Amino acid sequence: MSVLREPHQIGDVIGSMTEQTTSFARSDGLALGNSRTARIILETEWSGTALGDPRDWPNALLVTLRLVLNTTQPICLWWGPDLVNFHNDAYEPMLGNRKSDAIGRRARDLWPDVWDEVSPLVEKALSGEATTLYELPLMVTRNGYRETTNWTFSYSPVFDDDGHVAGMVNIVMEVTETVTTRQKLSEAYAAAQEHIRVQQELVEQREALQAELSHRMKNTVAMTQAVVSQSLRHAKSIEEAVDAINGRLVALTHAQDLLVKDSAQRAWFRDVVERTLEPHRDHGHRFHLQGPDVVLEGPQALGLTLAVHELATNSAKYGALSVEGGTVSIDWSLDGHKLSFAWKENGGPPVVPPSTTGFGSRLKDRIVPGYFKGSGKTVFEPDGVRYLLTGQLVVDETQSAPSLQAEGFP
Amino acid sequence: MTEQRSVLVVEDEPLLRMDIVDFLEDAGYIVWQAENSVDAIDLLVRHGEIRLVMTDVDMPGGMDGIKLAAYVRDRWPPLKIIVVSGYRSVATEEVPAETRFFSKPYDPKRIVKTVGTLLDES
Repeated sequence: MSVLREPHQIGDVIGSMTEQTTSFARSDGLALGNSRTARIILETEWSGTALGDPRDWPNALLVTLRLVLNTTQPICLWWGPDLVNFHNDAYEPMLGNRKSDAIGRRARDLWPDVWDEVSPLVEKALSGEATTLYELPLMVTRNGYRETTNWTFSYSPVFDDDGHVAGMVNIVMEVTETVTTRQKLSEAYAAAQEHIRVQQELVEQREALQAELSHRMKNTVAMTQAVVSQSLRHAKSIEEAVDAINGRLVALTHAQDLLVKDSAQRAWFRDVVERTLEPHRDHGHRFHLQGPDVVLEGPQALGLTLAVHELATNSAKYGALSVEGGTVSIDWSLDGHKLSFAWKENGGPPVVPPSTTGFGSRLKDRIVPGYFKGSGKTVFEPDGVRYLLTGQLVVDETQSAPSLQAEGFP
Repeated sequence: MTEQRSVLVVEDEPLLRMDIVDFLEDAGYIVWQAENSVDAIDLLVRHGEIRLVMTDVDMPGGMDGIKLAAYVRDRWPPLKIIVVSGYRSVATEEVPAETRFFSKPYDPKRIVKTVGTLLDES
């Protein structure tokens, strides 16, 4: 680390080390240096151990120790048949609370928790072959609890004065923090990627929704255009056209109100009829509705609305709804996909069949049946108009059971 | 009425179909109607006098208006084609060459005018 400083500082450091080493060599004769660990080695009573009095230690051990103790990179040295542990100051953090009695202990006693994992590498070093491993994960109990750690290290043989392997050095760097940080970065990156994916999905959903809204709006305008065009085409006067257009567009709008309540653009048959008849419901006994629960897809709901609107409008002008006591029975049934709808007026004035047919008749008898792939017929019975519509119910198999709530008209 | 003035309208929305049919009939064309591609092809097979097909893109069933246009161009190359869509714009490369495209809602009179122009070219 210090070599990166300014030149004059490097000189100071070297000068200081030389002075300390010389001074130390004079005092103990081993010249191990002035580190904390060196002092522990000097203060340790070695005479009763396998290594014996330091003054008798082989020159190779002393040379290696001097190298280890005066290196700032974390290193430990395991020497002799028992692999007696030495280490330098830089290595102490890796020992955790084992450091107090680590000097002089057998390596396998110092590291019992990882010995099974590292011993093959130790054997390899003792056979004369060096090993380097990067970021090896090890479960270590060094601070009173087991923790995952990562180490980049090399095990290298150390030779005695005769050239035989007498121990090994472990030059090591703990990289737990590096690995942990990288893992966290990786997780953060994955989370960011997921966030981006979700955002993209939301954007796509929004675009799809906008496209669908645009589609519906264009269809609605196209329908409106056709209603206006057809109403004008068949009207006898502007006033009649205005009334007809307004009535039909309001009816279609009411049907749209029902359809937008369901994401799949469907509506209950009964709701469509009830909503279309609402302007004509001046008292509670006007209409008798009877039929099963049937869900209509959007186009069929609009078609039914147009038919019921024409029937009710005509009835209000000439039929049962034009008099106080007139009533209308509305019945529908479903047999498989075959749908039948019947409108029958009662209690109105005597029925007079019209001399000409307008767009309303065309709508009921020709256009609306097209929505149901069926037929429509208006019968001018003497006691009241009868309209029959038969056709096929369109069922979108991709849709689940309807989530619609019935309107619950009184 | 000459054979050249027979046209086919393919549209699944009955009210819209009826409206454009009225405009085309007012202009003097014989107009055939179909609510889907299958019926349209059936009519084309039976009525060789049809000279132009106007089709909606968004239709139920397996064959939409784009596929119908491609099929028509392949099987009856001289037929003129008009494609209309409310759902999306149709790219030039999606439809056969010389196909005219209209976005819904369209001006019926522009359709009538385009039908006239296309049939006059043939």
